[in-house]
Amino acid sequence: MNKARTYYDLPLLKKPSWSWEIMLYFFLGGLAGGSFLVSTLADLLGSKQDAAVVRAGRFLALICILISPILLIKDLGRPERFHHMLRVLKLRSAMSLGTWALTIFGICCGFTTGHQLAKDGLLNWFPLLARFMKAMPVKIIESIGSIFGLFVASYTGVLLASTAVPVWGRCFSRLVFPPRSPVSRCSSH
Amino acid sequence: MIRTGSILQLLPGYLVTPSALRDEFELDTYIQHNCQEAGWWVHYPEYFVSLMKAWYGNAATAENDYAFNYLPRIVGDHSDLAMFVTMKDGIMKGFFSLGQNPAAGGVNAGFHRAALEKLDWMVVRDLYEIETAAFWKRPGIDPTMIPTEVFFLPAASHVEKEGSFTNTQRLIQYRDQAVDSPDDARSENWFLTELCMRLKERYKDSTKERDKPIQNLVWNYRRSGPLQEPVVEDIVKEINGYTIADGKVVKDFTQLKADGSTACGVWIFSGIMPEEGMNLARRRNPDNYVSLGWCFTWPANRHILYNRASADPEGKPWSERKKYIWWDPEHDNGDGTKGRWVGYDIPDFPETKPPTAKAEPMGSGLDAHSGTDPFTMNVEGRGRLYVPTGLTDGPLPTHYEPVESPVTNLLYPKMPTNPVVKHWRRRDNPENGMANPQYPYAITTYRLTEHHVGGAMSRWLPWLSELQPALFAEISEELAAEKGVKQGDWITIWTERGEVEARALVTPRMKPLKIEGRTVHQIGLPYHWGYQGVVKGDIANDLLLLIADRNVSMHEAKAFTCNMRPGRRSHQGQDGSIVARELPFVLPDRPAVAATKQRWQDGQEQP
Amino acid sequence: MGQMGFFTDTTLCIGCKACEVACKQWNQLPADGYTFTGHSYDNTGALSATTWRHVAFIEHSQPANGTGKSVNWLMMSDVCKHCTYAGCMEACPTGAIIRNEFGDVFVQPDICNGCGYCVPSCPFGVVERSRDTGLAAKCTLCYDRQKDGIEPACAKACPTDSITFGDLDELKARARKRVHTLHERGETAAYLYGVDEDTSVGDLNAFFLLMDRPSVYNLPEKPRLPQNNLVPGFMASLIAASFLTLTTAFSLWRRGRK
Repeated sequence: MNKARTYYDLPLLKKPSWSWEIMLYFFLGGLAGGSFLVSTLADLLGSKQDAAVVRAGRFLALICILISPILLIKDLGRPERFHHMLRVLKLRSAMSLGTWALTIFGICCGFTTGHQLAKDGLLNWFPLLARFMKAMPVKIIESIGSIFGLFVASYTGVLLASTAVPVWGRCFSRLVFPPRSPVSRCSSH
Repeated sequence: MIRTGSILQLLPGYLVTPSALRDEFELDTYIQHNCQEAGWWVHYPEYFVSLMKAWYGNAATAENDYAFNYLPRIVGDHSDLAMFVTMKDGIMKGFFSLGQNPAAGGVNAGFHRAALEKLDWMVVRDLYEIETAAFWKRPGIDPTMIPTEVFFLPAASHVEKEGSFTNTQRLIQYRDQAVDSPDDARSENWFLTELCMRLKERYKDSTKERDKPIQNLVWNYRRSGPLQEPVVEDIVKEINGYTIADGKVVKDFTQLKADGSTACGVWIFSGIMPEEGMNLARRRNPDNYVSLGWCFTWPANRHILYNRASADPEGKPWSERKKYIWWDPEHDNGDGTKGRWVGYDIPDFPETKPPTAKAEPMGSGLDAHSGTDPFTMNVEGRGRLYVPTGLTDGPLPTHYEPVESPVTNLLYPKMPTNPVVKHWRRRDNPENGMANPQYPYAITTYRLTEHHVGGAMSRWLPWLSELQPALFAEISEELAAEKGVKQGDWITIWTERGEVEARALVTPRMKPLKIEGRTVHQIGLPYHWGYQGVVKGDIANDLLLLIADRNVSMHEAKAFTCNMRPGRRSHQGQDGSIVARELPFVLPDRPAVAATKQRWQDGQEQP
Repeated sequence: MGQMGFFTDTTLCIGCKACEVACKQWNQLPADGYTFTGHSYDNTGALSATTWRHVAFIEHSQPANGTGKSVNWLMMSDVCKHCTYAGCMEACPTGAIIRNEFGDVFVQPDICNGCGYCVPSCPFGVVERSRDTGLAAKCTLCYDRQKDGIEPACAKACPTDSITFGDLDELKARARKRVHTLHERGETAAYLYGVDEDTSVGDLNAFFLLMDRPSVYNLPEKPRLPQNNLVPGFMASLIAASFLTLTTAFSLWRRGRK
């Protein structure tokens, strides 16, 4: 047979239609997961002087994790059907795993940061909610949350690597995606 | 009526239009010219008289030669190309274009469009506003300078009307209407019926002799449905034929008479309705071989003509594997006689005439043929290797170059092209000349799978238009290199008649030719585009020379010469836009048109 | 019920594009636009959200036997491969892409929310997200026609039966015989693509008889199921995440000890 050629130099694969929303989500997701991990570790292992780190990490994580779904839903072809993501859990789909992880992480982050807000007296205008949040078993929730948060921070690399696009499948890109925040945290200490 | 009717060289059923050129002003002369004493055409009078009775009914009598003088006469060449020359010279005032697109499909299409400008009025019926319907507002043209009144009437498509398709195997397949046509789109039957009724109404009080054909035209199909469509099976019955006295259908054309007692619209189709309401073209009974039960084949449901020739002179099949019809001498005919032609098809031979029958020297019709003369329509009863009379060239084939060829003819250097080809040597039909270095490339026009002729039925459909969206010209890699043309570049092709721009499709499938020691390049040009439709492009036929074969006036311009350069075309139209150069000359208008235009210019009248 | 699919024998294709038009007409898909490509007679280019059959044209100049340059014009009707292991189906997070009772890969248009993850997950570049509907779309193998017991529109329209539809085992048997016949005739370049393959996408329910390398037809030479990267991917990120967690924890613990 002849040597391998192309079909008029046309691409064989199809590029995804994602744009700036998804790029920003990759960053914010990593930031949220990383911040949450740092705040969790600080809460579990750190001392009283790390309370600021804990608080900052939790607030940052919540903000990022509130923006993230908006970006993701906006990028959907049918945004009103966003909830279809939670119809099934597919272990072979990085996006399915990521969506569930994001959901669980989001809930954990919500309760953890809610607890933080209540502790800081910022929920006093809604006493019932403040009492509820204060009663959260935070250490358990944030431990679970960090695991899922780490997943959220790192799965996007695997998501890209598990496509047919060859350059995304290369090994090094999988390492590029894990949390940037812990790296920046570590370097700032 | 002679100037506005469509003049056919043939009447339905391969009968002949009377000709003034042959002095056919009396019925007897006409019949004498066309009837044959030997062969099946001995029955010509029966078919002609029945046709006139179908058209003119009680107004066609023995006394007035069955309305023979109602028919227009041939007075010249009325074929398609010649007709447009007549139109361009201002002789034709009105024109009906039904499902045709001469503005894009015409040979020397620019000539055709310029011809349309000379009409007083034109009626176009088509599915879409095709190039012909929009010729008056085409790119580069000032519509206020064109006096032609154009009526565009939308037409129903073939699934929107009841009727039949007849293919080249003479098979008539009837089909029903599947969907309603949209809005004002109507069938031909409806349109022609309405036109006829209105013409009859307009001329009903006329005392002029020349209006009698309209007054006496028989057109009494029933109308039905909300759109008042003519009942199509009434037309089928008229085509089949019927006896005048009782209105009953005839069984087949053998029952037609020359004494005015029968009527028949198309004798070769007779037998399609052998009983009242029994439309054989509706049948769908196939079998594994001839399928006589599938629709109706004219004539007489006979699938292979002259099928007597499938048996040898003794009446036995030439081969067992290919036997078709044969002579069965023991067949009991039920009337005391024995012997009949039997087999898989309707025999194209008198059914009980034995192979041993002798020709009667003074016999009439098929009696003048023997039992071994299968070709019953020919006067001599035999097949012909070449046509003995009637052709202006032949009979033996030879080699001539096209009228516009890049090379000379080695076989006949002094007469390189067919000497009897019909030229229209006029200023508005300039020729490239023979082996002219100004037009060094051989070019042919052809079709693509994705489009249909001038594009009227394909370039309005997005699914087909996206498959081949642009006019392109196929050139060899060598020619592309020589001219500096890359894949997809614009190129301009021109002849003496006009220029077109096309995208270059450089392909190894096109090959330069080596002729007489030099390289002759070829260019291939599909001809499907025009200035209307979902996708538009230049009209390839603008390049062609209006030229025709002598026998049937079929155009000769399939292969011709051209020149080519890289880049888009450059000619400016009347409105300043860059358009195809249509014709090098603009001929003066007819006096009436010139006067109208003068009045517009003087402001005495609004265009 | 047996698995149903397509055998597309490119040696019979005449490039008429009836399959493209029949598919568009049956599924009422819009035209993709009107662009002259200059790529032989292929102005379609590729499969898309609104083109589910695409006829490719390849003009092959090859040295003939001393009589001058000869051109072989290859034509091939491309379609979704309906892989045994389908990258798009595994990637789909909503469960919209399923394998139906005929064994074909089907995008349920009422469930898809247009996340677009299937698009880069197809090793053949088939499925695409439509700009108009927002949904991922591709060949359905005429699921609706199959449910009524009739063959897909493209197979019905194909005048040469280059596209044949039926039970996959029967199609494969016929295809193997056809390759054998072609080889006996001296056409040794003929082979089946997507049958008896040792690839991670498995056999293709829409397989082909080709006359040149896959890349010539814009097909992958060795299609890979992209989800095979999942485990190594997660392993690698798990290692990286663990490393970063431990270093962060260690630095915090160290601070605490100071």
